[in-house]
Amino acid sequence: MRWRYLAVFAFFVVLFFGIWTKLFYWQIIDASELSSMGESQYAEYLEIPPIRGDIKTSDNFPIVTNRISYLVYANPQKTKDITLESNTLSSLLHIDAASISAQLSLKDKVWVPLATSIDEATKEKIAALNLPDMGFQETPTRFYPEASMAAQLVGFVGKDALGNSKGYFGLEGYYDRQLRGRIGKTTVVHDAFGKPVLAKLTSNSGQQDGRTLVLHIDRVIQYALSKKLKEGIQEYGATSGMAAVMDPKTGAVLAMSSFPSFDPRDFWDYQTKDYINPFITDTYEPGSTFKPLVMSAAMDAGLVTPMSTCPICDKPVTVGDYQIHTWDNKYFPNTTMVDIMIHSDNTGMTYVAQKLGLNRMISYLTKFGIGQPTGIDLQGEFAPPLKPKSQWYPIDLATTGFGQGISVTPMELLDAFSAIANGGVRMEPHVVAEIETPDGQTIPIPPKQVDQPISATAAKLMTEILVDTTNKGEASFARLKGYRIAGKTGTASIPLNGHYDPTKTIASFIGFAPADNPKFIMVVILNKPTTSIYGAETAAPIWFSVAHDILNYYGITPTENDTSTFQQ
Amino acid sequence: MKHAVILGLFVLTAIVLSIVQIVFGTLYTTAGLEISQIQTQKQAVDKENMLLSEKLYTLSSLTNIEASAKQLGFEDETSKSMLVVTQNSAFALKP
Repeated sequence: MRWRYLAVFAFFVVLFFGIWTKLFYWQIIDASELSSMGESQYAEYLEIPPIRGDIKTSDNFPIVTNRISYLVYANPQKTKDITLESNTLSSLLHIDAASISAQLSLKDKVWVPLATSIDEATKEKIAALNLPDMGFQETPTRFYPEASMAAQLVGFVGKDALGNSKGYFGLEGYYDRQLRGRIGKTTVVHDAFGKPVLAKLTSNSGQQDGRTLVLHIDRVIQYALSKKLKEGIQEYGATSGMAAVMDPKTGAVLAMSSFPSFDPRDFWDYQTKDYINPFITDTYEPGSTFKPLVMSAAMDAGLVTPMSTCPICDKPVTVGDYQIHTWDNKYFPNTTMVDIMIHSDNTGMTYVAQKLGLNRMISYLTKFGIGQPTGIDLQGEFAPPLKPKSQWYPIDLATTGFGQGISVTPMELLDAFSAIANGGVRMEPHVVAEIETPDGQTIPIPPKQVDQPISATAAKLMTEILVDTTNKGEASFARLKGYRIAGKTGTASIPLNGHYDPTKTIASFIGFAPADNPKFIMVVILNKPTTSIYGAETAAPIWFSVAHDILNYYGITPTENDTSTFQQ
Repeated sequence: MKHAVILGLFVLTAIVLSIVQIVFGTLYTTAGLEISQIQTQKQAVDKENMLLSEKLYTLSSLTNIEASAKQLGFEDETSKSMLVVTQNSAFALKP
């Protein structure tokens, strides 16, 4: 009898052991897979897309934001009258009826796209037709309230290889990670009627909207600069043009514009070259606008003073196998440094460059930032490096003195020149002033001092020389009376197959105002103007026209004294 | 007797907890529907907000303001002259 009890007991022990083993397997080893299978039967996983951040100007107006738009799609298997529907939709969608008809004829498909980026009003009109085969998918798209203003500065949003939104060029490209945010995921459990069950609702994990950029860009100055630059390019028959305005004391970029440009709303209709911001990528020989950098370096080194005279400026200067002439073939014996700048005298600048010498020239240019990217927060900046010292010839030293034989980008030149306006201190240029997080926090981007190429004294002396240059130089006819403006014209020859093109130039004007307490520095550059090749007659009038608007806007009134120290 | 009291307390506790579960479960059941309605309303308000913002930004853009100004007859400034009233002037001083 006893063995029967033991047998039954053993049977139940084995049975329970089997149950425990199976429970262990389900709850420990296979737990995650079984849990997922269960959730998939009653739960729904949702991806919560982030809203891309805005880009605002300094007055908190969004020049780039988001709008609701729709993708219109159709189910061809439910289409009743292809011809009638195609004609009706053609007028609403502004697409030819044949294209729509071709899509609706694909009877083996259940989903075909008809049009994208459709606005709310058009969507309502189509919805009112009550077509059973029509559907709408809401998709956010970028919206530009100021149209194509500052397009190359801002960039655009396209798709990457995986179909996700991605910023390209300009600010959209540089700050893409800040702007795009993070996709979140959530689990929603539904009851039998499809309604969410509160007790089973999980909070979303990881979703974060993109951050917003607040720029230094002043919308009013940007608008005025763009408008006058565009008009000037047309008026002077130039092939292209660019300009920028900056606060020399902080490096804040207040405006930047270039033409030809593109429309970010239809960026796909343009070529890649149109997206590139030439202000930070295109190199050119700056010509006479480079002279103040070399002159201020020589004054800082104690080699010349404003009243020093040039002993070799009575005729063309010979350097090796080359002869250097003035632009108008006029020569002034014993001309002073002030007059060298007023007359934009190449022979005088050759003298200054030779006095500076190669070692000091390279050292000062490096401190001015020439040959290095400025560090501006825009995607795609390029800066050609300075030649190694061993590759400089005496003629290179001489021509660098008057801005030929050396290549810079407009951004390099503007940043270097701003040191003269800022007591000798060079600041890092920045477009973005602060970044706003979705939860309302603000991350400021403080100004950054990069270097001090020249002393405050040298900067002050150079400023006075430039005021004299503006008042008495070739561009004096266009100057704004009543304001002390420190500026310099530039008429640079363009290299062509080993020599310089005699008929085409890059015309420019660079300057800052008011000279005693500069509120802005600006450079205007026209490529190959045809009405005149000279910067004084093309770029300078544009510069002064924009400067007039800026001074009015800032409420800076003219004074009776607009002369330089040397004139008084 | 003692066992009966303890058993009675267990039963009573089970009944009370069951009633509580039924009551609160009933309350939560309809909350899902309300949540769904609130979410729908929120989406509608967010959408209307975006549409109104789009209109506002378009109307207050400098591009639109310049176009409207031209339609109203305003012209571009051509003169570089400026009238400056100094503090020494008697213009518009209070009596």
